[in-house]
Amino acid sequence: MSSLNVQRIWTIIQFELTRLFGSKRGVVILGAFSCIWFLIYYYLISSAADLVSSGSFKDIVISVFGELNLLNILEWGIPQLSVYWIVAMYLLPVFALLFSCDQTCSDRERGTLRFILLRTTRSELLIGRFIGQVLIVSILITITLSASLILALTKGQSISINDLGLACKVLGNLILVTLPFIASMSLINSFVKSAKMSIVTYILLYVLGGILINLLSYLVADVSLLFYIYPGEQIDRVLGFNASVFDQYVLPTVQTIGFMLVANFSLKRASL
Amino acid sequence: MSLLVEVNGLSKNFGDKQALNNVSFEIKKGEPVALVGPNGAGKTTLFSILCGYLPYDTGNVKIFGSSPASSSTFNKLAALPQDAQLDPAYSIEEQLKFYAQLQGFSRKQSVIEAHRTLDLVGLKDNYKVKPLELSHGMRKRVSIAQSLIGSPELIMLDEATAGLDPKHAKDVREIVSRLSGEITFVLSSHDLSELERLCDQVLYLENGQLKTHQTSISIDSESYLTLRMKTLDNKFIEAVKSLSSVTDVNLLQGKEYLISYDPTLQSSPLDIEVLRLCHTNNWSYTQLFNGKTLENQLF
Repeated sequence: MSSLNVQRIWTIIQFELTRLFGSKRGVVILGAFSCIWFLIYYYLISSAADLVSSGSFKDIVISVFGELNLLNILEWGIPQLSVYWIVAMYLLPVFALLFSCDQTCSDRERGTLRFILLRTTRSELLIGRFIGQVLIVSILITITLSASLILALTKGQSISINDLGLACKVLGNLILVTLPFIASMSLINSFVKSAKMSIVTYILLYVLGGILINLLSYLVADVSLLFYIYPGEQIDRVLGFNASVFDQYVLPTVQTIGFMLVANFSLKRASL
Repeated sequence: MSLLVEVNGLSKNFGDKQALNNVSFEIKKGEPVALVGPNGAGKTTLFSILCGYLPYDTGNVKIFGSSPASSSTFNKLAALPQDAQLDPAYSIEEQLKFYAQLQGFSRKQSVIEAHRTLDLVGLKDNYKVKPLELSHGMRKRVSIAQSLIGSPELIMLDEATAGLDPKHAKDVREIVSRLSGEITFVLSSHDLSELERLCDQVLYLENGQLKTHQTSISIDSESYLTLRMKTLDNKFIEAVKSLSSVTDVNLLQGKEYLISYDPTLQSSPLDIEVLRLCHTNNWSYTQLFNGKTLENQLF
């Protein structure tokens, strides 16, 4: 990725942001996203938080959370944040995939990329669109996280500075978890022709790749290490909020950089 | 004269099919260049390689001395790619603003530039319209407008007037003609009369090979006249052949005659003599062309 022009990348990022926040289609998507999260809050987070903070179920909750290595989370002052963290950890990667499934593929199929690439390099476009998607997902995470804090306030919980610091850590960790998912979509977008195909390809690679690695691991000892390529491989270990630096920071960062480098290689050689 | 495009030994295959075979040519700053050839000859492939959309197999391609799609060609090279469509989610103004900003225009300047280019192609009243609300011809005009953003030195137009109504096709030809002094255009079209009017240099591709690379369409103009008549008269050929410098007269397709002559034998300009002959015999003509038409030169 030689001689990247920051101004052009910033222009692409801004245009990406208007795709969600400045178009009718984006507003419809945001509406659907809000409805889903309203249901999650209403039926899951709110009642689960009541359960977690309830004295009568404390022993059961400690037992279950202990089994799942989540006792650390129980100590958080805001039970809504604890439940949000667990739910978001599994749901947000799915939303990240759905939001970022059309980074370049539709534009390439339609020919729009031919107009854009007379004015910017393929690497700049790839990075600009990736950062744009990361910002969009980050904004959505911030909104849903804020909603969980507001929910806590409506339940009479007080929020201290420490709680806000913890919320910022949750935000940072959730963004970090979603990065490899968005980057993997940047890569898939470099060779598929539509958003639907990018989702189908992701599922196929995820499922078939998993089966293949499992089969090969019977024959070759270290093949299971290939699971480290998978976005979200560390989620179960990170969930307890006491994971190693490798799982929490190094693995998702390396995965993201790796996917972006391969995506850049693939997009540079693609015919438009 | 500065060299804009330099292509040497360019070849490109799609599987077993050879789209371009050892193509070499140069384009210098100046008059418009025509890229001509039958369907499947490799014109769009050549355009795509020059714009950096397609990788090539062998050869060497330089645009303004750099590789295609290199950032040093931005703001200098513009193009109308065939069949490329704008994003249906945004208005045409928003998209042209985005392109202008990528080319370095400020937010405010990009609005002015988007309006300027849309006005040039007659879309003044459609700034806020989305591409799918426009007709095919209007969308083509927006695509032409995006190629005029900034001050490019080379614009490649692939089938620019295909699908346009006669008025707007004429407008596009006028834009090309008007800007030709400052911008070098490369035009691909099946409308040879259009290219004839606009271009001074022809690249003729056939089966992926560059068959003709003429530096001037009117290269034969000193020894041929092409005369299109309203009606045919049996005496016409004999009468024209009797003129002193005429060496041969052939009836081509329709009512078109190709008159060959030797300029050294002329006592007075042959075109004047031929027109006088028509007038004397009451023969009505529709067009007199100095030289062979592009169609007759190539096919």
